[in-house]
Amino acid sequence: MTADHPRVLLADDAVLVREGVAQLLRVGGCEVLATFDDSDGVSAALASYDPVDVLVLDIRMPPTHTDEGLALLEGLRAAGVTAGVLLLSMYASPTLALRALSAGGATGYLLKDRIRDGGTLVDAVRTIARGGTVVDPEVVALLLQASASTSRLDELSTREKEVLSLMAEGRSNTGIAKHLHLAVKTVDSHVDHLMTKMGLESSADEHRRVLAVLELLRARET
Amino acid sequence: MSLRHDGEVTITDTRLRVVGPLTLAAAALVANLLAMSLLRAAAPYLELRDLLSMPVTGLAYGAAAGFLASGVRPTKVWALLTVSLGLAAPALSLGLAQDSWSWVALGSLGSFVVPAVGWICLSTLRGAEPGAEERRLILAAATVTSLIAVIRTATLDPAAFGWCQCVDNPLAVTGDADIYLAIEPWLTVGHLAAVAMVLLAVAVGAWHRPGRRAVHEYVLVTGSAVAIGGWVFADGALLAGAPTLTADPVVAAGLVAVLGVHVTGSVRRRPSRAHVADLLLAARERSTPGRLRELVARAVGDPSATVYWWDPSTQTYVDHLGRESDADVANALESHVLEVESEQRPIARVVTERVLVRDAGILQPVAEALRLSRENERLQAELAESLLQVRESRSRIVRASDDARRRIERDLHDGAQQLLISTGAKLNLATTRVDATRDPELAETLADASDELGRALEELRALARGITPTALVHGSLPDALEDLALRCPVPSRLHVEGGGKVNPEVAATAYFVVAECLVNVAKHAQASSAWVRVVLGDPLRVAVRDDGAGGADFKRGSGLRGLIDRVAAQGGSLDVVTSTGGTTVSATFPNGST
Repeated sequence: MTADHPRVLLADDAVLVREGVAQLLRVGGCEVLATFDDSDGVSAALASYDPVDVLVLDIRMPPTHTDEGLALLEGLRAAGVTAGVLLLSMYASPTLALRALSAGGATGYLLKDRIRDGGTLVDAVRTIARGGTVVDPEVVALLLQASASTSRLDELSTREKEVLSLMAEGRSNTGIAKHLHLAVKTVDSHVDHLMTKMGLESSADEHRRVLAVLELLRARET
Repeated sequence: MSLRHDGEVTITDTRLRVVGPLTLAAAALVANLLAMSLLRAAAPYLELRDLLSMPVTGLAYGAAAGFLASGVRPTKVWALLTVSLGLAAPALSLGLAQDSWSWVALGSLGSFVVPAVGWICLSTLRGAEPGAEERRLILAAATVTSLIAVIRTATLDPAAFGWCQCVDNPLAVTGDADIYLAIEPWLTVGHLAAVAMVLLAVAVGAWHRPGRRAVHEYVLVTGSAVAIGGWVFADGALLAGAPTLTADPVVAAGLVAVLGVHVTGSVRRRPSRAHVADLLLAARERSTPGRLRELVARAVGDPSATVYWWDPSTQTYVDHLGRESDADVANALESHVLEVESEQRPIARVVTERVLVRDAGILQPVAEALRLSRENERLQAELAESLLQVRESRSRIVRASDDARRRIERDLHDGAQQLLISTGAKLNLATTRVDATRDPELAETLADASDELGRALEELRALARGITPTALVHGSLPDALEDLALRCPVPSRLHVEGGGKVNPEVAATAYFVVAECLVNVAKHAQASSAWVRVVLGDPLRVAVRDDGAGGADFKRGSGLRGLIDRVAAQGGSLDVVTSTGGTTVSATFPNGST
């Protein structure tokens, strides 16, 4: 595996979407090892294609068409599998996103809509392959809008919230700086401040970012 | 059949009804005593037996009238009083013959005894007013009798005719005996006609009376026939100018027999009628079969009476303990069984050990009460059944609509949404292959197409969310409610209590309720916060509270109204409390596991 060419397994029951996603991933430089039309064969394929960097899973698949993708993620995490998982969903549901991220690091939750946005899908796969976390911008927006009056996020400034939400979308500090037209150093200091305010100081950098995103998601819990 | 018996069942105006008869009864007593003493003074040569029989019988009738009128329920006693005064009249008349101008007129009143006795006899037979035919006959007889009394008073003047040493009749228009003698046969004919009509009425009444004849009824009919016949004979003798009173003891015996049967019948009937009223009330109030049996037993005056109800499913009569009636009825005589039917269909039968009192005033209301009770029961059952059907059909409608919604959402998800997304992927791929610097127009067109596709997808998502709670597709009810609270523009917080599984239909309904409430909060409440509370378990409760201006109203076409059906279809209830401090909508559902 290399960060440039993540090895990917893909499961989606809609054949058109599956092919579209696979093609985008290939064009984006990912190595699509195999595709599945349900969640059944994925666990076995993990062993046969080892190493696998990222599983791209549709949430809603046969047989019940409810949360098979999410259940597979939780099962894999329980079995100690650390490979990254990107869940694709038709709906912007914060609770589903939280459930996904609660399963452990290297996880992402993205709306299928993003498939049409330039490199968003491939970027997300790469971020997750690196052990990062990705939450769909629409979900993040919902959370920020709704959490205006709750939790520790109150203490964050507007700019800091902006940075946090971009973090949640899986961007690196450099990416955030580019997006906000700021100096990377400025973004670094915003990140430090918001981490301090959220009580997340003494962890490794990538893990801290995951925790910050989880904090954002959990802000609604109480 | 009518249940009303001319006010005898009502208790209003009782006093007024009692005072008149009582006064008249007293007057009748005085008249009879007076008649006795006057006749004794005027005719000392008469045997005491002949002298007293009529006034004593008159006294008995007057006393009976007073007794019955003073009872708990006033009885119609006018006929008794008429007899009493009618009996006193001839004696008074004879006693006054030498002293008063009114003696002829007074004596004429005696004729009214005949229709009055007929009336008493008939009302005793039926236990109620005489029937229409009989009543017409009696009234015709009374009219004829009245005419005779008037004609006689106007034409008979014994003093002027020189028939006796007595006072003139100033009411007579002529003193010519020939005129009177010419009229007299016709008067006798009229008298006989009246008697015939009364006897015919009694015969008709006795014939129409249902059931077997009892001894007292024979006594009654015979007594009245004797009394009426004897009276005619005596009256005829008197008219013929032969004032013989030899028929009087016979007449008196008939009259006393009639009176005795009438009074005992009235006395025996009185408490039972009170019980009939109880029975009717109980029938209306849906009493148990056991209680109805008890009341029927009391009303018919037989504690061992049993009520068997017709069971159409088994085609048998069954009593309140579930026993069949066959053996009982086979052994019973006709006089011990009361059959109750409604429109030719059997309803119930009452079987007694004693002979049933053949009193229409009791048996008809008893039958009516049993009919009423069964009818009530049937109506209640029908109502319950149709309510159940309505509820079930509402449930089916809601379920069918939910199924349809789920299918549409699923079709959207598997069809249009997937197609648009894969189209998006293709657009994306195309974009990567276009060199934007060499062909900016194409690049722009592709970007536009992608944007429009994004909007289409967003709209489709919103549409799917409105059709069915998509959050429930992959999440639990609390998760779905959390997503709802997040989407509400008014800051909303979710509070979850309890745990356990939620019936999917209940979850969908609870979700719709909360969704509608949050929409209302955002649109109308002018609230700064809202709270959603869900208590999982059975029953499942959800409540949405806001701190807005209040004024939520089911009836003003709020979307909540549309939810009432849906909530009710789950057997749940919806409750709105609104005040200036905000509004709370709460819903409770039975959450049986399915």
